[in-house]
Amino acid sequence: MKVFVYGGSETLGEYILKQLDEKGHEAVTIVEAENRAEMLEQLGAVDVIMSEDGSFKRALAGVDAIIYIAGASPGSGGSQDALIDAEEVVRSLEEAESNGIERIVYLSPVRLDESDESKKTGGKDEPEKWIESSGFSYTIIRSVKRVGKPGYGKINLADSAGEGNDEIPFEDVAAVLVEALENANTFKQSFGMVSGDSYIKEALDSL
Amino acid sequence: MGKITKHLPSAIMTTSIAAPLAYMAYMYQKDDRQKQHAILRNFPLLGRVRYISEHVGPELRQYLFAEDNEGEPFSRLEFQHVVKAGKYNERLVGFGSDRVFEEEGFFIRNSLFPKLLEEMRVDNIEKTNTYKYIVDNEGLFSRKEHREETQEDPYFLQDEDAIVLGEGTCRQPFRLKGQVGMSGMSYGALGERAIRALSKGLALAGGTWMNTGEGGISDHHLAGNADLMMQIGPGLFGVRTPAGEFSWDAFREKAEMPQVKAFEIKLAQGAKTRGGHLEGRKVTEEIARIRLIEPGKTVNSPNRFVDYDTFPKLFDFIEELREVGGKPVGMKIVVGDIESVEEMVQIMKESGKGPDFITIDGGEGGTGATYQELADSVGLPIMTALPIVDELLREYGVRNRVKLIASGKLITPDKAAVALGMGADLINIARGFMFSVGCIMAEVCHTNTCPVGVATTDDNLQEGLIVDEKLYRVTNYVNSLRSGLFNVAAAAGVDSPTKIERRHLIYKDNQGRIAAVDNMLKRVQPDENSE
Repeated sequence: MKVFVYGGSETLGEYILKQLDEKGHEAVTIVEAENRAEMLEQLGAVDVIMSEDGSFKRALAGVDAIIYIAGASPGSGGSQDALIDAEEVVRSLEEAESNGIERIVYLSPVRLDESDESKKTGGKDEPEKWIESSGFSYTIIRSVKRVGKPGYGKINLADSAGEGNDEIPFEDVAAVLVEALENANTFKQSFGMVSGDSYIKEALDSL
Repeated sequence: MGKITKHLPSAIMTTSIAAPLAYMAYMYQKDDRQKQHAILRNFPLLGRVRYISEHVGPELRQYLFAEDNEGEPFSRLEFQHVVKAGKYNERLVGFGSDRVFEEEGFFIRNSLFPKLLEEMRVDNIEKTNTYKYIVDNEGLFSRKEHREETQEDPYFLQDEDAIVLGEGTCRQPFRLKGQVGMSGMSYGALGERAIRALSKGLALAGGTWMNTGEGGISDHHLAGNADLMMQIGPGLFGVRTPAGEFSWDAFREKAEMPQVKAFEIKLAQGAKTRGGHLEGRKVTEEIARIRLIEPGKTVNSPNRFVDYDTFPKLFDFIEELREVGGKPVGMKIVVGDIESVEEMVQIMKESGKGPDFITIDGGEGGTGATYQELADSVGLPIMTALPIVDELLREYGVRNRVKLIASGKLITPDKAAVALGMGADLINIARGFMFSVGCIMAEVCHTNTCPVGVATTDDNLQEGLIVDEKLYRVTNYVNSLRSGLFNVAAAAGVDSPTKIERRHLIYKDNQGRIAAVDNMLKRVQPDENSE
């Protein structure tokens, strides 16, 4: 499957590119700096496109699915209001839809461990509503804070962060996004996750 | 029964007062009558305070009286930077620098347009799984902290930037994706636990090396599967025949070990240009097996390779080692006699032979045991020695045939970066690594009584050192050094620390005047015409 990773040059993106390659997918992504491009290619991206006018359109050519990391900055917490440009997210997704792409796995900037008020600040939950009413075969994922720790390979599906369960390793988040791509149980689903005790595939199969 | 209860309190009172008094009286008369110490004869008992204070002085000064920037060989702050990098994986400082800017020293010339992080030629593809400490709460008498697993960027050089030892000269060149590694530290000088922690930590960090020191390859050096650089000193430990000659069979055996990536012939060490003396009682079965010597017998090693006293002879030996072993061969030197170094470089050019790398040990380098006169005044410090060798190699057009490894108190990224700019390709660190496994600078390495179990083979003292705890500090320290080098490179406006050059450095004197650091050689060898 040819997959465009939006936000592929972020830390989390690196893990996703690597795992896509390992699972035999072809990953495409966009970067700002040339040196960065080299590294992403070494990680396993088949096509790294330099950011410029029209690069997004080129990147989408022939793509089967999108993994969209919105506001992936790992340290950003509940207090920050302008996490993402909600309108820009919707605009780029519209562009993808008009290119005939059907499948999207969307990692939400909204975190399970935020207050209800914070979940709405800056309209960061808006794109989710738009996706749910769009024609995409979507999977929308919310998680707790994503951290640079070795992955456990296990998660729990959850609607809120539990006691002592307020973070999840990058590696595991990436594994969930990649696993979700072709797992039919995740189609047209929105769910939250924390680090837990079920193997990722089993957890997603149970949806 | 009643009698005992009645007399017990007074009995205890009497003993607890009388016994110390009796002891003091005994000490008093002993001090008074002895003939060795004048101060004790004149001030019995009281004079002992002097010895106690003298004994704990270094520790007291370090903890209570020394200012942050004071203290040699390393200031309190330098020590802290290394320890924090290892333990907390943290290198940020608050408020500003504590460096004394009025003093003379090297500075990095920062670019007005530094490189962005994503413009750096770094390889962070394979992350490192390690542990770090996080402070939960710190009070005056307690610090609550916990250790947690973390995944960190290793800051490797990209493949094309990797430093290769023995490229084009030997069958198995040594590729290094990082520029910092461990300088020679023998088993025996450090205990097995320290060596094991270092071996495992360095292996986990990757892209680095572990120099065995001249005491041979111990099982402890092999414990973590780190890449080894085997050092061969004049004592030929590990590669000798029972009679003390060089053993090609033993050498071949070492060269066939997959962990051994290179050999280093030690001509000299910054802190000691002297021979070795290994006391018979220290030669245990294990040490004897590693070093290929007889257990229980004292070994004196010369301060020079007996058979190799000229460069042509030495270079022929290097050629043969490389041919037989198939791995890079380098040599470790201390620079003092510049004419002799020039002769070496000239012979390298004329014969087409020579080492794959030269390790330049600054006069400020450390050792477990030496004499004060050798430690303090023999050999030039690294920032003088290094550029001299670099410039001589360039002048004779052989710089591309040899890599330079610099050592001598380069324990923080800024110092290492300056050395890279002054001509080094790689950085050797010993004492920084000792800090990361627990060294507190007690300066008793030569006595086998190291209080933290690092530089001792004493089992009881070594119980303090937990390998599974300290190995991660070694890993974090290596990562932090590499990350710091990338930081400095970015500030200097180049995309890799391999590109830091003389033009990125400047020297400022104590009156604020600056001077370029190129052409060091010109300054020691004034033009012949100008006489």
